[in-house]
Amino acid sequence: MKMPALGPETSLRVSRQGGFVAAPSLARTRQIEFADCDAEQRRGLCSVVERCLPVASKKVGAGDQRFFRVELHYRREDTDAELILQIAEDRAPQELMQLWQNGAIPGDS
Amino acid sequence: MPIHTFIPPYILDRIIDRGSPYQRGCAQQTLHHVQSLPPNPGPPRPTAIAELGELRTPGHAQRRIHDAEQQMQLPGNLRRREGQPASGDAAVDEAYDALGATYTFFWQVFQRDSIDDLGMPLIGTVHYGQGYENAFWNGEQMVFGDGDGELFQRFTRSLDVVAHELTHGLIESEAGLVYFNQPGALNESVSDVFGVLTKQHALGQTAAEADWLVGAELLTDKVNGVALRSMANPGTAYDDPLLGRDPQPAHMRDFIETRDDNGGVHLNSGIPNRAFYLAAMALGGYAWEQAGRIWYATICDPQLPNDADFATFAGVTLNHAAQLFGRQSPQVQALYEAWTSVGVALR
Ligand SMILES: [Zn+2]
Repeated sequence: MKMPALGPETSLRVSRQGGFVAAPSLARTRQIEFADCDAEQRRGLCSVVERCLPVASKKVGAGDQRFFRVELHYRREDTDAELILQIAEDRAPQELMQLWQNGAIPGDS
Repeated sequence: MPIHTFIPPYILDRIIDRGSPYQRGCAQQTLHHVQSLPPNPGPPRPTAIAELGELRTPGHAQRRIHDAEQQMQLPGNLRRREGQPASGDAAVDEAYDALGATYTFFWQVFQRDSIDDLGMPLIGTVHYGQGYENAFWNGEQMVFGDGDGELFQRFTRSLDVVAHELTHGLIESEAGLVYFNQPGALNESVSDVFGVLTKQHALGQTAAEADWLVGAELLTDKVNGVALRSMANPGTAYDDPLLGRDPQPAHMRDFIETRDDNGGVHLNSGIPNRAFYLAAMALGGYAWEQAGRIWYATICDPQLPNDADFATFAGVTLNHAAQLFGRQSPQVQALYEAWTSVGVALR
């Protein structure tokens, strides 16, 4: 899977899902609009999603195992498009955990 | 790597936003700790499990309780094996006792020898992660967190939760219900069913005496709620400013179509949960003797497809009720009424 080209109308959503409890508040969905980010932050967000690509799987969550769901909503050739990744909690990259938990975006400076 | 942070908008961030400083500290600590750990090496190797399996003793569990010592590596240090005295660690000893009670339930009621009916050792890990608010089955063993201490206590406190996780293993070796949409919700529901039946069996409770709650011992007294789920009245277990409101539907008219949680497997399980409760209450006595027997025969039936929806599953329960108790039996009638009451149309 490759990263699509992402314009300023892109939004990124990260939530933690599954698990025995599955209470609504535990997902702690974080939504980030690219329009609110500068170029460096956008690059940082793309690098987080790229990190997730090799560890993403359709089959996650069995037996109450928690997982992260990463959604990219973007425009492709004038139509709405989305990229959805699911990542098992024990395979989640550190950058994704930090983004979800603290809103931390890795930077290159 | 230097990190730039900014505060993005939240849709739902109630625990982080409104949580006490202790809760936030807990989350931060977990993150910091996880950062310093190598990648999770995964569950114990199948060969290690086969070695343990050589000690097969039908009628007697083979338990191994490990301690992850707040890390997230499995299985962790072995703290108590079968026959050893209490360790003095509450989580270790609760897991040991609860896995023993679950083994005893399946052996005494269904003559089943462990998860795979081949005497598979029951491996549990406690003290997994820091403030970890979950319990799970990873395909080879059960894992229990300590909870954050503010909303959740340690997950070994509830016998039905430990039995729920073990039942996930049992379902994998029988019906293999796909963990997605309706078959996934059935997977969750059957785990709740045998979770509460294990507890009722251990306490010697009839259907009428039982509370039909899942995870009643997990919530701290700061939470406005009685448990994590209610099989009798799905959607009423908690309503709390921090935790949110119990989202389970109790009837097909409220079935939740969602892409989250693998299609709402922990949400729509409320519907078959209530069907089981209604059937068990109508039949009276010990729930494991009639309704439980029918459900057990259903998940062990090779004719049950692994992608069964609610209606297909309900149909198979009716077949087994007829086989076990007769076509004109009150059991068949009770099941028919239970499924109909929750809006599952029988084909
Ligand atoms: Zn479960």
